[in-house]
This record gives sequence, structure tokens and C-alpha cells, in this order.
Amino acid sequence: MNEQLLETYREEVTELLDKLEGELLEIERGVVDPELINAVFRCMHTIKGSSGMFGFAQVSRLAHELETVLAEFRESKAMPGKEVTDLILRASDLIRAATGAGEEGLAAELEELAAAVPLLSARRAAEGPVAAAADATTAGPGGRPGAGEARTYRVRFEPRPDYFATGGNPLLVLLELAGLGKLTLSAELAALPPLAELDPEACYAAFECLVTTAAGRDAVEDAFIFAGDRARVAIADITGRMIGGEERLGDILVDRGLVGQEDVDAVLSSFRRLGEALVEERKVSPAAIDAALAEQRHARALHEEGQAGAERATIRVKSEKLDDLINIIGEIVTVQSHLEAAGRPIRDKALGAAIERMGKLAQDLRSTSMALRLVPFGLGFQRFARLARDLSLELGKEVDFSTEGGSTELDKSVLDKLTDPILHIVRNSIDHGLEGPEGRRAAGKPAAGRILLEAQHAGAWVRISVKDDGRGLDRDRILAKAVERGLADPQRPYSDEEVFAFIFEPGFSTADKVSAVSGRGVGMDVVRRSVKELGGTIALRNEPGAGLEVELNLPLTMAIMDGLLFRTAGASFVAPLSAVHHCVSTLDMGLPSGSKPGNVLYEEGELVPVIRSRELFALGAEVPGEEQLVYLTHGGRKLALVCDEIVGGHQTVIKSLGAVADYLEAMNGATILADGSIAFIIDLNRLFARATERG
Amino acid sequence: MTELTVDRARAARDAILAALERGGPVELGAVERLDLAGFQLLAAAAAAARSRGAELRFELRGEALATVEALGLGRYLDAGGKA
Repeated sequence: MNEQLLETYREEVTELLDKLEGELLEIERGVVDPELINAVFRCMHTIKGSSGMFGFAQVSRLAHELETVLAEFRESKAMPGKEVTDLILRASDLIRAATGAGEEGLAAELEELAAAVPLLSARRAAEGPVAAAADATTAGPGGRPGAGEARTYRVRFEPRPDYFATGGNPLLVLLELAGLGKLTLSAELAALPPLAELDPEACYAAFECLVTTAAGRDAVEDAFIFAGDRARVAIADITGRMIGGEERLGDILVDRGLVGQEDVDAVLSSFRRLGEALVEERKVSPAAIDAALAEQRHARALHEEGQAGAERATIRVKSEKLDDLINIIGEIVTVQSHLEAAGRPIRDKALGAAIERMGKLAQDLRSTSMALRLVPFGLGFQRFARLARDLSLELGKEVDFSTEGGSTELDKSVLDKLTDPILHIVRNSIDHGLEGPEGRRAAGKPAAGRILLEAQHAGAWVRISVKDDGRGLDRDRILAKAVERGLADPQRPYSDEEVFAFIFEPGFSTADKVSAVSGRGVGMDVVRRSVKELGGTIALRNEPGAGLEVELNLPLTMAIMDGLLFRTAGASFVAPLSAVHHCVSTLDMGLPSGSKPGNVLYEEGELVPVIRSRELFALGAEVPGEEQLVYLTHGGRKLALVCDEIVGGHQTVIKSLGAVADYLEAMNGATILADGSIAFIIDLNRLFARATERG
Repeated sequence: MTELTVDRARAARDAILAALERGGPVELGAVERLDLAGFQLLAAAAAAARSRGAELRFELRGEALATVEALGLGRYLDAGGKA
């Protein structure tokens, strides 16, 4: 099988399962909205189809069984209970594993689960709160509003015979309905008498309309406002029936209560055409068949248009291809710098203008391509919500997990590397931070512990915070453990910040016993390392008894950045421009030529450590009469880095130094300059750590 | 004929019936305005013409054509006429 196609299938299944789990968690939260069931059904339906196509027969069968159960919920208008959502989530895990590693090793589990589904189906009748009727589009409190989302309504419009008496024209009402979206209409003219008996001033026609609109149910009702009591109007939301575009005629007729399933089965078993047979047997009228066929056409058209629309709107591109694109654009940016440097001495106006234009285009190209790599942080929310749900069950704690800032975008590679650290933090919050229901009640808190995962932009950085309302960090316990492990001196006073920093030490844990969840101390040091590798910082805000907030600040991207280029002793360096507070020369500070600034400066009411790049990077050469100070801020702290010369802003294409970076002082990357020489990129974390050591 | 609306439907019905009695094609000409009464009349006339093997000729134009097309009602008026 084509490996590329298979990979695409896996990606699609993963996305569908992520979506499905998100919807199931909403159902578990008690949201009553039939559209949630429809969404889960759609995911399962697609997984079933594509899995069968790619030879994952057992996955397909399991999906089929689940689809059957979900179809029952759609029909009965009931919301699934915990037993059902549990089972589907288990199936989701299994499908994820089977499509990733192959069905072979999971055959028995897939078989077992597929067999369990019909048994559950038989028991489900007593479960869950009954959902609002299928035609209720406005979900109740906690429900999801339908506004803005296209929904399909079946409208039966029966003008009274005397409708025309007041000058009304029902066709105008129908035209207003057509103006709301896509309309498929069937006219029922069975009551229309022969021409000779026709009363031209009497209304005989009735209409069955299917309208798909994002305007909402109110707008559909408003279309009939002038019909008043001169017509009978019935509106039903049948969005769920439009799924897949494959609605069968028999299902439509049964759904409308026109025939029983047994009537349909009887005709089908005799291999006759359903519509014709039912009309012949006088079970339904030709007009009813016409209306049902119209519904079928409407569903099919929606499906086709929806698919075409989706194909036009997005294309799937492997992230590696985007990485390649960024690398090429990085080269273009570098070559453009070379061109600019080479063209400058020629002093040709036309050449200068072309180079300037080229520079602008390179910058636009860079911005556009960087935007391609940005993904919404909310893509990962479902995984965290699922973790919270599973852990709360495992630990017997009630957890109210919520998220904000899902639309905050960041580089996909940053998001990928961030998922595990955030999972660690959420896991720790639930396991260590949140008290059990009894403990919370005793502390005067609601039984359910709250965890808020939030993301927001801050300039060229993204701030991600995990905040809980648990017991917070126990300073004394952490310090005692640190002393016990020989990490802390029992005689020395420690600030809160210093004490809390111990939780990031490898193997550090205050848990009395090791559990499967946490307590092995392998979490927070991994978090710190990952965040550092991303060039970010981590901060803790602790309120004893009231909760803990873990805040991560990360660069938006790791490929290209705006930097400040500076030189010392002929060597070039780049600092992230977003971290540059301001620059000042020693002469402007009032220092005589040739004199050095001290190790600490008093700046805007605070003491700022001074780091000399010449000393830090062991660069020789003579100190110039005038030096430059670059004030940098990072993680809420400030320092001044002394250099020889500030060159200016620089579009920095980041090249990895690989393992070499570990041996270099406060550098985590390099970039190629216009003249082909190399500039080293300052690692803010290590630079500021150095300042702390010296401080 | 330019309008086939409720206030003209009775006269139109009588004219169509008379034409059908005479035999041969029934010529309604261009229809530029149409309400539901007119639509019902055309549908009934189309059925009557079909049952007698006669041809009902009309041409929907302007507002009438736009209404029938927007609502997909043309299939109910198929009697050899242009809808």
C-alpha cells in the first residue's frame, strides 16, 4: 500500500478521534445538544469508511458497531450516558493505537470491544437525560449555540384555503425562505381539483421545504411571520439526517412516520422499487415520495457542496515540507543580505531600487511562510482535557478543566514540543495540587477542583499558563526534601523562588509514595528542559492553600527571528530583538573614554547586572574607547550586555549548532551574515543564568 | 397575457377551459407575473391539457420566471409549455 496515502489516512483518523473525543467530553460535561451526537456519529462514520478502504477491517467493524449505537441515540433524541462515552473513549484509544501500529497486536482487544458494543446498546435505554427534541436548535444552559453554523430545517407550509382573501401570496413567503440559504421545495398539489372545478381564489397547495441556512431557526420562523394564522407551519431541525449525504428513501419515509420499517423491509425484500411499490400499495402518496426524494437530493447536494468547499478551503501539507520551505526561504533571506552588501558599493540607483524591492519581497515571503507554520494552540486542548478526565476518574477527584485562548497561534514545531511538558504540568496539578472532594470541602472550596489552561500572545512570545485552585506548593515540605537530598543547606535562608526551584531538579519529588500518575520526580525537570530547549522560561506563582500557576513563556517561532546584530572583538552575535530593552554607549552614560562600566548598574530603580561579552566569550583584542551596552530583559529580569559595536536589526535565519551548543557559552544557534561570516545567537536562558551565578 | 395572479385567475381559467373545449393548442403567451393562485391555475391547466392530449403553451418571463426558478417549481408546470 502507498505509504504516503496510509500516512494521510492515519493523520485523518487522528484528527477525527481528537474531534470525537472533544465532543464526547462535552457530552460528559452534561451538555445536552443533539448536534454533539451527530458530530461523533460523523467522525465514526468517516473512520469506518476510510478504515475499511485501507484494510483496517477490525477498526472498521468496531467503528460500525459504535456508529450503530450512535444512530440509536440520534433516533431516540437521548444523550449518551457515562457508560457509553467511556466505551467510545476506550474505542478511540484502541483505534488510535491500531491505526498507528497496525491491527495485528490488538486483534483480540478490537474483537472484544466490538462484541461489547451491541451488549451495551441493549442496556442503554435507561441512560442519560433526554435531549431536547430534535427540532430544538437552541441548546439549553451549557449547550452550544447553533448560530453561525449551517443547519437544515424541514418546513411544512400549509396555507389555508382562504389565504388569498387578504391579498397574500404564499410564493413570496417561500421566496423569503429561499433567501436564507439553500432551499429544496416540493409542492403538494393532490388537493388541486380538475381545472373545471378549480376555484381560482382558493388555495389548494401545500409545500414541504428543506432549507439549509446559517441564519438560525428564528430567521426561518420569521419568514412565515406574515402568514400569521392563515397557514399551518411546522419546522423541524433535521441537520442530523443530512449526515453523509446518503440518506435512504425508506429511512426518510419511516422518519416522517409515513410508513413503518416493516413496510419498507417488505418491499425491499421483494426487490421492487420502494417508491413505486409503496404508492401502488397506497401506503404513501406520490407527493410524499416526491418530498422524500427531494430530501434525499438536498442531503446529497449538501454533501457534495460541503466536500467541494472543504477541498477548496484547505489542502493537507506535511509539516516536513513546510520545514523545507522555511529552510529555502532562510537561504533566500541570507542571499538577499549578500546581494545588498555586494550592491551597496556600486551606487547604481536602479540596482539599489531592485535590491530594496527584493529585500521587501524576501521579508513578505518570510512572513507569509512563517504564518503557514502557525497553528492554533487549541489543537492540543482536547488531549489535555482527556488527560484531566481520565486522571480525575483514576484518582477519584472531581476536576473542572477549562481552556482559554485556543485561537492563539504558535509555530507547529513549538506546539509539538510543548504538548508533553503541558501534560506533565496538568498531571501534577491534578495529582499533587488538587485536593480530593473531602479535603476541598473541608477547605471551604467547591468539591470540583478547577484547572484553567490559557494561552495568549505577548509580542513575539506566547504565554501559556496552567492554573489550579488546589493546595499550592508546600514550601516547608519542599525545603525539607531538598535538605534531605543534599540539595539545600539547612543553615542557609532561602527565598520562596529558590525553594520552589528545587521541584525542577531531576528526580525531585515530595510524594510519599510513587504512583502510576506521578511522584517519580521525572516530570518537572523534563518540563524545564523542554521549555529551555524551546528558548522559553518557566515561572511559578504560588498561593498556599489557594492554588498554583505555572507560566511558560515561549518564542512564537524557532526558525527565523528579528534580531539585534552586534560585534565584539570582530566576532558577531545576535540577540532576539524582542528581548532588547534599549541600548546606550559608555560615552553617552557619561563614562570617560576607555573606562569600563561597573559589574552592576543602577537603572530605573533596579540593580542591573553587567555581563561583558569580551569576557563571557573569552575574546581577546583591545577594548575600544567607547563600548555599547545592550539592555536585555527575559523572564522578568534585566541585564546589560557590553559589546564593541551595535550593527543594527537583522533578519536572523536560525541554524542549529547541534550538540556543539552545549559546549559554547550562552549560545544556542548561529546565522550566516551577508558577507558569509557567522554570527552566534545568544541563548537568553543561559546568559541570564550566568548573570545570576555572578550576581 | 402578462399577469397570472389571483385577481385575474378566474378569467384566465375560463379562457383556458374555453380554448380546451375548442381543441388544439392553448396559447397563453408570455407570463411575467405569477402568484400562487396563478401557479395553481397553470398546474391544473397543464394537467387538463395532458389529459386531453392538448398542448398548453406559455412562456415565463421576468419576475414569474425568477420565482419559478428560485423555488424549483418548473417541474409542476410541464405541459409542453416553456417554464
